[in-house]
Amino acid sequence: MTLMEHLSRLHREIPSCREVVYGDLDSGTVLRAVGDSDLRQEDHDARLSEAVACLGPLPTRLFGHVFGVDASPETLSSATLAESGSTSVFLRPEGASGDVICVTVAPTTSVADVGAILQQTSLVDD
Amino acid sequence: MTEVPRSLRPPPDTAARVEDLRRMIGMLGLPVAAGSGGARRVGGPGATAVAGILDEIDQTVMARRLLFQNDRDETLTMDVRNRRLLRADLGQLGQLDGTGQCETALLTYAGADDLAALKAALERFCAEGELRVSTTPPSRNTGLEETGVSVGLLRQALSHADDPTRAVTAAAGGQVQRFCSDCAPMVTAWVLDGDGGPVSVHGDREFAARLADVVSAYVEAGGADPDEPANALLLTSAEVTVGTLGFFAEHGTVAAVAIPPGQVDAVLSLWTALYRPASA
Repeated sequence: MTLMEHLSRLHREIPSCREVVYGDLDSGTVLRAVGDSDLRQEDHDARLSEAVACLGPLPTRLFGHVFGVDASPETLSSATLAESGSTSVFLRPEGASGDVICVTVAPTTSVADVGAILQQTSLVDD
Repeated sequence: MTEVPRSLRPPPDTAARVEDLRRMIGMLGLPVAAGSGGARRVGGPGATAVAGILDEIDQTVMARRLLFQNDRDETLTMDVRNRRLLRADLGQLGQLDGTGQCETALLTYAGADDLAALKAALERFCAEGELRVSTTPPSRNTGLEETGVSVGLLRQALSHADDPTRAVTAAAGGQVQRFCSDCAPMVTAWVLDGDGGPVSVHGDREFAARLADVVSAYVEAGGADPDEPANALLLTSAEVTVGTLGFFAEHGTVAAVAIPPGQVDAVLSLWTALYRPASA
């Protein structure tokens, strides 16, 4: 299964999924993206920028301070940003340091369901 | 060029806070307007009197008790501290509604009903003539958990209660408090009010001190914009035994919440139950 097929499957199977973006956290580059037809490249770029900020140095440092763990770049495995119009889940795939999958869904979609599908899909493909 | 998400944008302009500070310093230099019995005139009637009451709260840092008296010799007692109203004793004003239910209002969580009762009582109290105020030391010690209501929230609730948009905003900070209260059995939380005032703490206080550090850093990074509606950021580690750190914010009030493993879904469900109906 190619990366695009993988992302398309996530977009299809996750309830009320708006977009799935795969990118590089270090360079802030979108590598592949699948989304609703009304979304443009700028929307995917903005989503990846959110992932870079949410998994970046400041949140990592705050997390390390609270739980007393090392604040290395790989400390945070995922972040969830819930806003009034949408919810985004940013997940670092196992074994792909520096990469991130961004899934944006409707605010009514269960984050637990998104996480389960992401994990399930990952396990199947691995 | 990357775009920073709204929850992590730089802090908003602080000019308004600086102007507030200048105004308060200026008022400290004004001569006291003496009234009968050593009390000071607050002004009035109507909105001017209400504004005078709010200014008295706004100028309070150390705990004190404010005794207001109107031209009808009715009294209103307020316990205030750190620019927050902790308790309003409405005295005979509370009996005017015939129920006797609002004689004393303990304003810890800024419920919409409490604010509406206070607004109604103040409108009656300030309807005619001028107010006078005298000050006494606090009659009791207040606990950290007795957070009261910030003067900013009071100004919104009392000045704009007829504006539906403002009414929602006024109740918003209380919603974050309510959310943390609902989560309290599961989590440790530190809530910082939108005015930067005192906090409410839920769970282990020693551990919560760490949350105090991070919530300040989060606010300084622009994660609690007063103009922003509700948003939440949850941070999770790959290490399953480590908990999840959550920031829950609305209109400048922000809570840092440490969530134990296995409780994230339950906490997020409580959050969405509070906010999704209004935002959907």
